[in-house]
Amino acid sequence: MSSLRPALMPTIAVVDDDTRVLESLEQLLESAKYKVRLFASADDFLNATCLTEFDCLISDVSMPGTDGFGLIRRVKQMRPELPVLLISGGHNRIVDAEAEGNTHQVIFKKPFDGCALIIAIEEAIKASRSFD
Amino acid sequence: MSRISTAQLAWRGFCAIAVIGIAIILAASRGGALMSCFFLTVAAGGLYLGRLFASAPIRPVDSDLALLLESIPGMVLVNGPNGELEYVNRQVLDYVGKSFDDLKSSRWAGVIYPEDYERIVNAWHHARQANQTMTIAFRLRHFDGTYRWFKSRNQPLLNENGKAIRWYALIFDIDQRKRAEDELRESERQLHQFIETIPALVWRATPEGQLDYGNSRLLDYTGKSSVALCSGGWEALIHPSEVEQAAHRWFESIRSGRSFEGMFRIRRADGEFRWTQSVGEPFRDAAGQITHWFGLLLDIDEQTKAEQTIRDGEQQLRLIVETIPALVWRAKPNGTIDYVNRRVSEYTGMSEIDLVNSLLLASVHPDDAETNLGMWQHDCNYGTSHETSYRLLRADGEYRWFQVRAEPLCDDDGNVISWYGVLLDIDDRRKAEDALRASERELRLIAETIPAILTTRTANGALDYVNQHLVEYTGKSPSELVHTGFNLVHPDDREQFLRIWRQSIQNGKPYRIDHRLQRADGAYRWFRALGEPLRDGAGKVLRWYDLLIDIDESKSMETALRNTQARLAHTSQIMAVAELSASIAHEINQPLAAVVANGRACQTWLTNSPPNIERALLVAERIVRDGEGAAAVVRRIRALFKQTAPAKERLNLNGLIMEVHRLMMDDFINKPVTVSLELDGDLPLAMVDRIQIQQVIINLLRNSLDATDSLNASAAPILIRTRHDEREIVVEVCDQGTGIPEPDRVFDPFFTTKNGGMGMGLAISKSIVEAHEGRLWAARNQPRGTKMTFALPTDDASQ
Repeated sequence: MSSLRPALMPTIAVVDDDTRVLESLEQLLESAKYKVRLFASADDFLNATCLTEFDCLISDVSMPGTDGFGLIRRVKQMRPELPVLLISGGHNRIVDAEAEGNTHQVIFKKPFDGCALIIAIEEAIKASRSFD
Repeated sequence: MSRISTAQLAWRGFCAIAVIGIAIILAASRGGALMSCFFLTVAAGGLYLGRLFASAPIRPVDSDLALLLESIPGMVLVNGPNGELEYVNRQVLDYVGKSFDDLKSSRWAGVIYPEDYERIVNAWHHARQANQTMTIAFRLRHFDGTYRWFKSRNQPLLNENGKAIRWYALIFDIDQRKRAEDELRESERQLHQFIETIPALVWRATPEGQLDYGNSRLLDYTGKSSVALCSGGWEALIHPSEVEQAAHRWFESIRSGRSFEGMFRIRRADGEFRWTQSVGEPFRDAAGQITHWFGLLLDIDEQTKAEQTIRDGEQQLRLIVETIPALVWRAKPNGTIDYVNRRVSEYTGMSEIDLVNSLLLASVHPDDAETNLGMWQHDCNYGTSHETSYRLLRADGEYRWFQVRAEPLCDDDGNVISWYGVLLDIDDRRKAEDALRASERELRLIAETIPAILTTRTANGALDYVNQHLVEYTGKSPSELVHTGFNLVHPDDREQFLRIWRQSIQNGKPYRIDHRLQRADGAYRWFRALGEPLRDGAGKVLRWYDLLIDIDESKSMETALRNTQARLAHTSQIMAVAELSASIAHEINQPLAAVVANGRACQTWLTNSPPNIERALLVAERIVRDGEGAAAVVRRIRALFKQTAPAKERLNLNGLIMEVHRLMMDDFINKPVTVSLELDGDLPLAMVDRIQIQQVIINLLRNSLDATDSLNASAAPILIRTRHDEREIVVEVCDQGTGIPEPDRVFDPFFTTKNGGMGMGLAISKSIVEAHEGRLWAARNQPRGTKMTFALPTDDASQ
């Protein structure tokens, strides 16, 4: 399936409870030629029937309901190869994440550099495709 | 005138002499044999004289007869019919020492005692008148001038006509008898007087027992006249209850003739019955016949009563000795017991005889016996008071402790007559004392061994006991402590210590003073002094008990704890700041992240070829919007933390709520909840900071949305309601979400039920509402969910 997808048009899913952040990432990623789908919560994303269409997932850490780490655990069960990038607005959660042994996970602290995010997305997609 | 014949005369003369002789014999019958012989001789003389005068006229003719008359040991004289003296014998003349003619001519004057003379003349005259015999006693002068008593009996010789023709007189010496009679009379008088004056009650009774005499003292005593006494008899005198017995004895005596003795009460003149003792003796005549009973009554009332009193006293004493709750005994001087009271027998269960045989000592506990026996013998030997204590075997086999005391009773010379001893059961007391001593010992042991300092003080605070711990701790002796104890208190604590302590001593209230006390090595340690007063029944303080507990370690720990707490507080402050800054960062980073991402997007849209100007403008607008949002957050936070006075303005909260509702419309759109408003149309204005109160409403509404959202309930409307009363405007935000388990805790900073929340919202909201002099509280909503309410004062009320 992934081989059929056009190489230059990966689809990115963005999950964040803050509309402003969702909207800004939609513009950033679209301007970088990515296809973007926005979700207001982790549950909304998990309920989507088309998990396979995404090449990368960008999720906020602190959210009502399932948070970013919870989302990663669920996604790893369903699509282990899907790269996930976390974005976070606070510090305490990061400390908690370190305590949970998720230090290898890339977390972008808000506000983050858009170029750095795009580079990270490209590298993640490349890495996931090399697994295939 | 007819004359009587000589023979007749002689016969008559003989008869007269014989009569005189018989009379004399009769009269002299008491006189004894000698006198009888004398009178027989006289009688014989009389016989001859009769014959003489019968044969011849007067004048002694016959020499024999004359000789007889002249020699008989008696005086004879003859008077003529007219009383003239015709003859006296020689004895008369010898006695008076006068001649016949002198006597005749003087008519006895100067010879007869002058006081008797007239009496004789009268009697003589009377006798001649009546021609009757004259008997008269008189005193006749002896020639030596002394007088003696004589008795003369003049017998007339009568003729046929009954006329005295001659008087014959026999004069005999009665001086001795007269004197004896006088003496007898005097003696009788004296006896009578004696009987009358003797201080005794004397009575006499007839042989039949009838009272016939009582001396004047008896009459005085009984208050009765002699007649009344004799007629009333014994029955009127003796107390009714003793009459019968007395009478029985009295008649018994009368019957048997034996002495009478009786004791009975006699009614005295004043009506009082008094005890008397009566004795009676029969008086018998020569033939042994009882002529009288003589008796005495002795008033023994006082004595009887005294005896009675003594008897009563003795009785009472015995009763006391027998009933006092003590064992009483008496011993001989050598220590042998010779009396024990009933209680001794009862206690030991031994008979009195056994006890008296010194077996009391056999009941003494073997361990005490030897010592005490020695002591007892020592005391007996020296007559010293005996005092000891020992155990004595009771009838049931139990030994009980007794206190023993004995005192010697001595005579005037100091010799012991007997010992009196008493045994007091002190077993209970002794055991109580032992228990007390044991408990005291134990208490002292406790006082000395408890790991604390213990002292006692008098009511006024003077130290009177310290335990060993204080001595060891301070290195000072108890007496040093009494004087310098307070100097050991740390100088910094001393003033406060003394102030509290003196106050307690004054008002009697317990005290607790923490202070430092100097140890023997000079180091100070912290102690807690606890003082408690001991009071008597009336509440008066008797004594103070002070306990000093070493609290140095706990004091250090306390200090350490305080330091830890301070550090903890500091840490939590730091953490709070960290948390706060995190949440602030989150609040700001969200819009900033959007700004940065939009900025990069804007840049990309513009640098793309061809540039997408439309999208670049869109994101540029959003950059401005979110930048302003971030600035507003910063402003609000500054307002909150710089505690600047809120920019208050007069507003209608309904308007504020509708504004928030509109602002948050976007938030609702993607959520399956409806927010409805129930606004009070007459809501008064309130003086509020617009942004702050908006923030509160936003916070509450967002909480409700989150709660409802996580429940995923589509038909659970959120309600915002306003209402008011005279003083307050009330805003309620009700949801039907998950609810909160601890409504009171939701206002603590960082308390959150949301996974994504940072817990600052409600704490900040509460500060804001309280800064407006209002209240914010949480409660459960019905049927479910949470009801958050805040109330603000109306503008009028807040003025």
